[in-house]
Amino acid sequence: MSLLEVDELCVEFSTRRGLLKALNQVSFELEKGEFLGMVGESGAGKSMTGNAILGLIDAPGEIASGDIRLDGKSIVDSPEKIRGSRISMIFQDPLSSLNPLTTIGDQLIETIELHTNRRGAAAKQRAIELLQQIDIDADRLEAYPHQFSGGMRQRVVIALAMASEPDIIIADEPTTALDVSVQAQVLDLLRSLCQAEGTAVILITHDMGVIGNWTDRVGVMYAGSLIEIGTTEQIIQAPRHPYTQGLIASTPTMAADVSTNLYQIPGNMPPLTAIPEGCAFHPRCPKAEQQCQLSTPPLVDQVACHLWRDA
Amino acid sequence: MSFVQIQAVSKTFSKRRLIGKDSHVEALKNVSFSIQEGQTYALVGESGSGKSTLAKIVVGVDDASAGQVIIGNNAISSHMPLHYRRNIQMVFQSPYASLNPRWRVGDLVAEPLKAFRLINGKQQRRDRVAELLEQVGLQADDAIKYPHQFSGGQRQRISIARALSSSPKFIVCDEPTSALDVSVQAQVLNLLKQLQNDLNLTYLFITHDLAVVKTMAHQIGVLRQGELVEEQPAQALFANPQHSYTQNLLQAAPVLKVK
Repeated sequence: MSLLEVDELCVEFSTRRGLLKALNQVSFELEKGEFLGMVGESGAGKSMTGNAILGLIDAPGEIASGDIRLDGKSIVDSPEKIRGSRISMIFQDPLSSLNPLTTIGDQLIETIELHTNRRGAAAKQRAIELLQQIDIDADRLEAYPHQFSGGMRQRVVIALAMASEPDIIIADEPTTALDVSVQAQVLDLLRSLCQAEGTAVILITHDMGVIGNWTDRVGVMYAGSLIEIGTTEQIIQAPRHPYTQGLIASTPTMAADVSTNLYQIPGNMPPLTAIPEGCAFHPRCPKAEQQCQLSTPPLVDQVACHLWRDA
Repeated sequence: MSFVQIQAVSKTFSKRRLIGKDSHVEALKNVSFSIQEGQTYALVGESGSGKSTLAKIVVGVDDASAGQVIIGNNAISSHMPLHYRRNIQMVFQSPYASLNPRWRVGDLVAEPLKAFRLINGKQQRRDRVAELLEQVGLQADDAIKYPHQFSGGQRQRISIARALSSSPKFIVCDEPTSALDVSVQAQVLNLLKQLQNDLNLTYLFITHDLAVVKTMAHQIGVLRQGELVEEQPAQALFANPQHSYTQNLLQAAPVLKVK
């Protein structure tokens, strides 16, 4: 049994224009201590997957079908029991996830007291330990968020996420607001802390470079579906789904120079209001066959593509 | 002689205080480089390195505290004659913030034409807008739509069409694809390259993304805290970075390694 099992998850929004399928039959597993990347373009459903796991989908959206299990037990009906304690979250902008009016010490202690049974001096002791783990001096407990740089703030957010000793951290674009050298520090820190504690991470990003350098396994999302999942090595060196192949080919690498053009996937990702029949990618797919227009390929053997069914 | 010359440009921002000493921030320190006609010069640096301050000085929105910028044979400043400006255009980072949501695409693209009095009459305007939209891969009848009806990549095409409308020779691209998804980024970068080839455009390309630089630039300058710490042709810089800061930057960059 895996730590987290997402099983044929469908999230729907009922709008005036009809039913929108924000997530369509998404299934994957997460093992203890694993670093799983979720990659895709804006609107592909990466963040929606993270929000669904945490029970953060607001009306008119709802989990229409499917299940999410932590240690084999469904968490769909009472996500508040695990949110913040067994599964915590890191958001993109560290400035808006920290309270500007209280010291980071108070914020750490509050989180520790809320989610663990440490109180008072014991909670403060734990806060000091957490600060040391993220390479910030213990005397900065009295500092306010505005006194920190962007990278330090995001490290504090990581400490907050670790404070409840969670099984899983969902990190939604945690370094998009940071410079590259700071990004590398923050991701290295997140990775080493999670390895030390055995915490699993779902890293949501649109950056293939981040995926390639910091994850163990990768799920690729397109128009609300998980279309391919596999080890980072497999996905980057031998992608099977034509969309994954296109995504990797269109990412600038060090092999390119001014004289070469980047590969372009024709067209754009459809909005959720206009997802085509059959495979959602078929109108842009260079390898599409008739079958691709007719039926939606399920995720079998780690790839959702008809071309890999027959072989 | 080089088409664009940036000669010993410095910029100091001063803040006057009622009590105590005035404070000064040196945003640019004696920066010099030049760009050959029809080529792309990429300026790389992290937040606060002075990239955007330099861009503002180069397009004549802001003035340098010392030094000068020469484009063609014209000295650039915030009070230069209007006809100097039509040769210089800019493409901004966010196509969500740089297009007025209440204007139709046709009006957005035609604004420089109007500002520089480059057209006479409605028909000529319509034809030129249609030509520009098609040049960037949009359709002529997109002119009557509003920006919200387009995706991010299409909006950036609109910004590019607007930048091209006054037939400039030089375009400053300030992080033009950092708000876009990778597959869309590829489309926009390819478009910029194709336009450079077709129209012999000169670009100053400002970015923090080294992989993007690799595909776009002929020449690269690395800016740190207002100083140009290294400058080399693109191939040489990636093969053999000299300055330790460039080496660190290259090491930290999460570049995809496809075998």
